[in-house]
Amino acid sequence: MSISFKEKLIEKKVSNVKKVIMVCSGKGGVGKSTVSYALAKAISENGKRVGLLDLDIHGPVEQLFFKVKKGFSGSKEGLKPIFSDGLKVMSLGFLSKDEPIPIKGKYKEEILENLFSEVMWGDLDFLIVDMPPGVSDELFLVSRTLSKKLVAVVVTTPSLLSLSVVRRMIKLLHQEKVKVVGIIENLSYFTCRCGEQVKPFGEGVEELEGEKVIGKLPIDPKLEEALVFSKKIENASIFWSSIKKIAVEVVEEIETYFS
Amino acid sequence: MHEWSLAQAIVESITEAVNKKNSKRVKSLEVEIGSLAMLDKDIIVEAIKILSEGTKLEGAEIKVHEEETKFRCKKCGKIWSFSEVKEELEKNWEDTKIKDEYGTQDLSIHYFPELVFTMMSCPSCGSKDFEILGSKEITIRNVVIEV
Ligand SMILES: Nc1ncnc2c1ncn2[C@@H]1O[C@H](COP(=O)(O)OP(=O)(O)O)[C@@H](O)[C@H]1O
Ligand SMILES: [Mg+2]
Ligand SMILES: [Zn+2]
Repeated sequence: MSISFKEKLIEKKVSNVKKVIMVCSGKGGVGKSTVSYALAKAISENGKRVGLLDLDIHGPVEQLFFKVKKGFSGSKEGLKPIFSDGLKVMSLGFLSKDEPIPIKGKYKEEILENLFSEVMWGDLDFLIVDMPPGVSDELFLVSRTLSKKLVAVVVTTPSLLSLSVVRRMIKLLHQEKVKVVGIIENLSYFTCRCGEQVKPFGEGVEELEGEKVIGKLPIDPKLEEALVFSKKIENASIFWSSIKKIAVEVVEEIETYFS
Repeated sequence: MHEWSLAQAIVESITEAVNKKNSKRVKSLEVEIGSLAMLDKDIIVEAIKILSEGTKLEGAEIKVHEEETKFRCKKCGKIWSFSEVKEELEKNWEDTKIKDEYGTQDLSIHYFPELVFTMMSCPSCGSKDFEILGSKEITIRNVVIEV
């Protein structure tokens, strides 16, 4: 017989991770990476031990949110993630400079598996997984290997284009029996100088496919600067204060679900 | 250098499979190691032996095949091997190397062999559309058991 031992490795690497939160959407550009980082940061500031895994292997961006550029170290057991900003973080962005990452077909499945089988997360309350757009290998790998401790947070914008893609994603999550903690509606509105609330992408929704919207995030013109230049998310105070509230709710929902 | 964790997962996976089949012991197994992941063959074999003590794997014959990883460009058909480009990769990707507890600096392909698609192109036409021939890391085959 031949033997596959990757599952065993994965099991060991996440054995002390209590819960895994997959931040997904199906749609690109809706704020999955931003929300993943911000949720990780907000939850860790509330005293939890949090890891952040960038699973968008073709377009990793999580490395941009951290001041450090290096810091992995190897050991007998595997690869220790970078520790920065109170978070343990793994992104192929740290290892690929600005070069393309054109990993396709079965090699893609294998690197995704290796991302789970190599990284030593140690003790974590939450591992937040920033998902790529689309529904394919990543989603199935995560739901197959981590099912017992997995939940999903779904990100959308109020736009019908986004909602129609996200609806399919939620159906798939239901089919794969992944618990949806809630939907975060991003880029929902901004408040004009005159005080009026403007909703450029539409009115949005309160629920979708039976899952409720647990928070609406405003458009914050300071976000880009805060995240990638000063690397102080609190500088984007409109966005930060909203996501902090959502983070509390996400943690509460997860704790109730598993209790 | 994560050979120990690989060996441990290998031993545990085999023992579990063997126990499920209710067999007495493992007679032999084949370990195929491709050069791309730059794994240390001796450490792997040693670790498998040590970790097998007291399990149904103890005393099994371990046949090791070391294989040079090769690549084939899908655009121009060029075939080349890892050893031809290794030195260049070591130089070009020096700044992304990962230091282990013994101070050894490993290329990231030691952990993620698939990153070779980022680090290398076809030496003939420059394309990234190549495939990997043979083993790139470690494969366990032909586990023979005694019932
Ligand atoms: N609430 C927001 N306000 C302002 N800009 C935002 C907001 N959410 C996301 N962005 C910006 O939108 C872009 C895409 O976000 P990103 O998180 O990369 O999306 P995804 O991961 O879904 O592709 C980024 O430049 C990000 O800074
Ligand atoms: Mg993203
Ligand atoms: Zn070529």
